[in-house]
Amino acid sequence: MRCLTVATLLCPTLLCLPLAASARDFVYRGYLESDLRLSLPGKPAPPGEDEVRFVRVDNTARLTMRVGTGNVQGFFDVALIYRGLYDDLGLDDIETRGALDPFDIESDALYIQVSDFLVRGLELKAGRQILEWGAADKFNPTGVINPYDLEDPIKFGERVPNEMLVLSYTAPWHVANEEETLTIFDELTFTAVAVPVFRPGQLPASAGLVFTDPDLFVQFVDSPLLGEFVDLQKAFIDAGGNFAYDPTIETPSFALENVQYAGKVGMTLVGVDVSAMYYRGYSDVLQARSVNADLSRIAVGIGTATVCGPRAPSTCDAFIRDAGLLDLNNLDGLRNLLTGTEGTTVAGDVPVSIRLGYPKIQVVGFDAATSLEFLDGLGLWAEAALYFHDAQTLTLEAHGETTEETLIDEGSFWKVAAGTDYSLFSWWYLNVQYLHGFVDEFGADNQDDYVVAGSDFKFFDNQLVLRLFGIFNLQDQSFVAYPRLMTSFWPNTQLDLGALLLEGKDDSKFGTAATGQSRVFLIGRYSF
Amino acid sequence: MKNLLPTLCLLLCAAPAAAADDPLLAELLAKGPEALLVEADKRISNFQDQELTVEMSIFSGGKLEQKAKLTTFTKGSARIVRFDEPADVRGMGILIKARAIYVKIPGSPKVRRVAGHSRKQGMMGSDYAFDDTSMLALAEDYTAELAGQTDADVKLVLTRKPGSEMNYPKLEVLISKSDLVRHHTRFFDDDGKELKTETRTELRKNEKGHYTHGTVVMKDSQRDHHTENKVVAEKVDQGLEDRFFQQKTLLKNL
Repeated sequence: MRCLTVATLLCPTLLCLPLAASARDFVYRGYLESDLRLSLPGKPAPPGEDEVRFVRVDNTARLTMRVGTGNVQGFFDVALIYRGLYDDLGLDDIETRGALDPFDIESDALYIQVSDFLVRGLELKAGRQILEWGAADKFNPTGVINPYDLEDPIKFGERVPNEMLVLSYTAPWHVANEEETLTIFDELTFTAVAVPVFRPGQLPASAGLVFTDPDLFVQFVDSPLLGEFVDLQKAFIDAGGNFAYDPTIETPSFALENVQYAGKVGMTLVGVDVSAMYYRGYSDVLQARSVNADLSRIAVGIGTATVCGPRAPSTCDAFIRDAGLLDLNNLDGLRNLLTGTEGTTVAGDVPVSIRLGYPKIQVVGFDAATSLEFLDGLGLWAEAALYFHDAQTLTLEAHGETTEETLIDEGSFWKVAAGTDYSLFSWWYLNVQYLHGFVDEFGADNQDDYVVAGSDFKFFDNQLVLRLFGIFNLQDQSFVAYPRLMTSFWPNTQLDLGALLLEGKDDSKFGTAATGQSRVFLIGRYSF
Repeated sequence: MKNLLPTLCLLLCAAPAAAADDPLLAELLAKGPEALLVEADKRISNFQDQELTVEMSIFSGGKLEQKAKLTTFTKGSARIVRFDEPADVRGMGILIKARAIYVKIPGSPKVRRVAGHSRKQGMMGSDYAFDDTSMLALAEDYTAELAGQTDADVKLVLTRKPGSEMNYPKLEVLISKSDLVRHHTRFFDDDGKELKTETRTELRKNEKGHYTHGTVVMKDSQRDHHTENKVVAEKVDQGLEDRFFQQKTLLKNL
């Protein structure tokens, strides 16, 4: 009896209470995808490559899942991508599978989400994730948390995930009209973000051409000094030498001072979704910081006589300095050395180190989206962001001589996106958007204007959709045309045939070789 | 001996007795057709919140084209539709709140505001437009006129009220006299042309007096195409909070 009494006293404690049974959530989705692309003639192929060739032969298996209990959920995404194309192979490479059958593993999400964290309505998300801000479609001026993934040109607006802490609180207040047909005030949400480590964006393979083709380099770095440097390179090439570019990327260190911060407040107000944001961190648009040329390894000759070189009495850097020609503010002397006398030859490469970095920025922005019911439900959105930045300077160096040029003065620039969409019929959808400043443009003088337009034509109960999409640069009239035929006649299976056409003058936004060649593609996906 | 044949015949051959009229029918008819419509609305929407899982089958020319499974959460005028099958749309979520529509597409980390024009679009190629899913309560948006009666049904003609944003200017509904539940609806356009018809069968009633039809068929009147929804599961009054019907809920989908 005594034991029973003691047990009765002890049992009401937490130790004895049975744990509430919680059902575990487990939801998954995934797909297997095959992606085949062929380049089209027209724009030049990279050096040494066939003009018409397979540019992608990828096979992907992706799995995305959510698992958790109650207020705590874990999100996990992983993709295994077998790249059918391989680089040049050596004998060692074909003895192991890795080089002749390359693959990548990617993960767009690996985070934990806790709802009602400490306080009701407060949500914490911690881990690898993509946080997309902005009401516009695909091109978001306020979307600065995650950098762009430009590796695949047909996947506009994709982002590279990053590790971050996100805290958001949504107030429980809701005010609507009596008929509940118009929201007067709803979903007031505060969001705070901390990103410990900056992650660069991913560039397409064609971006490397910028560092092998001097004319392309100048297209992307607006610098008179660099323009002269490129002319000098051409003189070197004409004389038999070459510049060998070695670009290095300088990323912000992992120091505490380089943590990126962002905050946003959003709400629905009288039927309009509005938000305002602030970000302090780094732009994902690379800027050239310095160019360093090493002239000590070349040999310059006139006729059969060697003027300077590694085996000559004087190396060329010493010769040029002694001759008073090493003036980085005026490269005419160097150019004349190579072109002034007939029979001048150059042997060897000039190693050129290019240092690139990511500018510090602060961004303030806002966006709004609504539906105009008095215009039959026309969709309307606008998004704008003001980027503040330091001066961007370029240093040209060679053998102790330096000169500096300011590429972009300290200041600010706007990026804007505004658009509308409408369904003319149940089978015809139209979307038009204006952009000021493309994803890779930095600086007030470098923001071009674009019209982005797309249309979906749906047939056979949406089992066949013809998508026509395009981007037009108003300044240089270059454009992207992206037709895509999407079929889903078989269960869980989509088969798409399309093309990405890049047209324009050689020095235009989309006509430049740096954006790669036009291509056709065939993509099949089975979802499970 | 009396000829019992006629009596036997009467007993054996008589038609089954008609279901009795609902006790409220006479009173509602006396009050007017709109009172009847309000009661019919109430019978299928008398819950605080509802979670309804349906299997949707889309037929074209009598042939099954697509199947889908979706779960709809409803509270008042707010609703979330979550697609569970097929696999390529699993995780897609739609939030409809005070006529605003938000969509989260599978694989996208963002919720997008979708404008009102999209209500014209059929859901997944079905015969249901977006707004059709919110047509539980018609009395708020339509005036009613009595158009006739049979032994089994009352027929009402509904006219869209000025200022209402419903897609259909005119409806014809049949309300069963025994249950006071709407089981057949014809949808008309501005020119009076019939666009589609909806037929509801397999009526069930739960312990709280809430009615659900186990099967609902929406048929396109212009072509040989129909969509069949079968209720797989239903839960009512689970205590879904208002904050469940927020964009954050969509972001929890994959």
